[in-house]
Amino acid sequence: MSHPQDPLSETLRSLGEAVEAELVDHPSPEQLLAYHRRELSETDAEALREHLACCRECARVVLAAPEFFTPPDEEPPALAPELAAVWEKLAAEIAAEESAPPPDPLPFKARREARPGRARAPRFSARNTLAVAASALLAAGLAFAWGLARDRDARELARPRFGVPVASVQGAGASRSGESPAGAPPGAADFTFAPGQDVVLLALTPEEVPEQAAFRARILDPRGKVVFEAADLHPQPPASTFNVELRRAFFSPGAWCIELFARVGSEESVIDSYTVLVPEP
Amino acid sequence: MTALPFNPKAQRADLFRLYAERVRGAIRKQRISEEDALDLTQEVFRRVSRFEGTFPSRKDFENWLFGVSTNVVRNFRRDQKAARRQGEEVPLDTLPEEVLGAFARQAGQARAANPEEQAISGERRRLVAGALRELSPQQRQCTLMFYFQQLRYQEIAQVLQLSVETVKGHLKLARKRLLEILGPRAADLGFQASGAEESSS
Repeated sequence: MSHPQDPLSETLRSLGEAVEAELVDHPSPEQLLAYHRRELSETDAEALREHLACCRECARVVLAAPEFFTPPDEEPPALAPELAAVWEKLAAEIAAEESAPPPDPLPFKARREARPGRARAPRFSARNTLAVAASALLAAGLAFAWGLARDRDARELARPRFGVPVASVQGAGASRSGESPAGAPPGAADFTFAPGQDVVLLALTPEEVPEQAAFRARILDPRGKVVFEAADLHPQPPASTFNVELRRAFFSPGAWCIELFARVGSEESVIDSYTVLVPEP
Repeated sequence: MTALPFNPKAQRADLFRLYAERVRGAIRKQRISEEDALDLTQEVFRRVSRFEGTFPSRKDFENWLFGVSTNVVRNFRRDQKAARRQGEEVPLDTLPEEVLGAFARQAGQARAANPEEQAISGERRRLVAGALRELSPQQRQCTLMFYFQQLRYQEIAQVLQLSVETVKGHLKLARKRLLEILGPRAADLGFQASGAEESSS
């Protein structure tokens, strides 16, 4: 099959490329899959078609779906040699990971400093009691505001926000998390949502925080999809802590990941990552 | 392997044997080179191996796996190109506005950036962008998928969920309508009235 090469065709081609380059929003794989399965309303499907017409990337995802979801008639034959090699390499990598000593499951400096059998030292000293009290009041106020706002716009509320100036949490339906899940092996999760807990406020304190760096964070869902990003973050003194508030309503069960990045000059690297385990309700 | 619920981490070897070829096929279908497709297949199953959780059914797992494959390809492309927002749940009713707005801007930009040496192509794009917006959605979508994406009739029909005959009909009418809208300027700009797409099969 050959496509025409006349001036009108060429113009349509270059115009399509220009329009495609302007597209910023792309539907999620779930939306594309729902479209493929004709599960969208006609209005939504028509809106998606308009995007698909100008987006080669998304159109190809839709084109790939039928083959992917058509089960083979019989048990698949032996793996192709190149795929067998891929598995061999991956299996070796996984085996090496699993035989390595478990990572330190304690992401907090305070928790790292804690010793078994010893009560954890108070996080705050007397000299910043006033700050703690102010933070607690602020936390209570924020939690109250969240409660009101949750009824108004659950979707918007479900988005976690960074940089809230709360260093600690006292009451108001929220509590400090940071315990490994009961029964989980060391390193399985850095945090877990306790039953009935609506809000988790995390104080992320990386081991090393480069000076004069630009920081950003992102949250990945259990499928590895980035669902939230926040740039231009600033660590909170005195312990170079990044405060993150997570709302239970946003998080489906599974292992979520929070990654912190630091950029110095043109180089950016992950300075710490945390696993947040959300149990089944 | 068939025990439910699925625990991908525990059954990763079986899952790789059963799904690796399908994952690679889906990635290749997105016009990724064979070499890169192998690397991306490995990345997909790396994520499978690290996933902590279970799925209530095979269908749920396959949906998840398809999403992971799509995101891995998108990340790969994003790393190759400028970073851009993608893969998020977006309000679908905003998508047509984005597309049609881009056409409007193209029409305006082509007029503004109209250097002498590109006068004809700039004028062509400006006129065609305006004319495209006057087509029916189906005609516009078929036209872009055929001329811009260079898809075959069968592929256009699959993506737009139409019959092949309907796609052909929309393409024929769209070209005729475009030339009508462009009017006498069409000939000046070198646009021909012949249905060139009819030679494609």
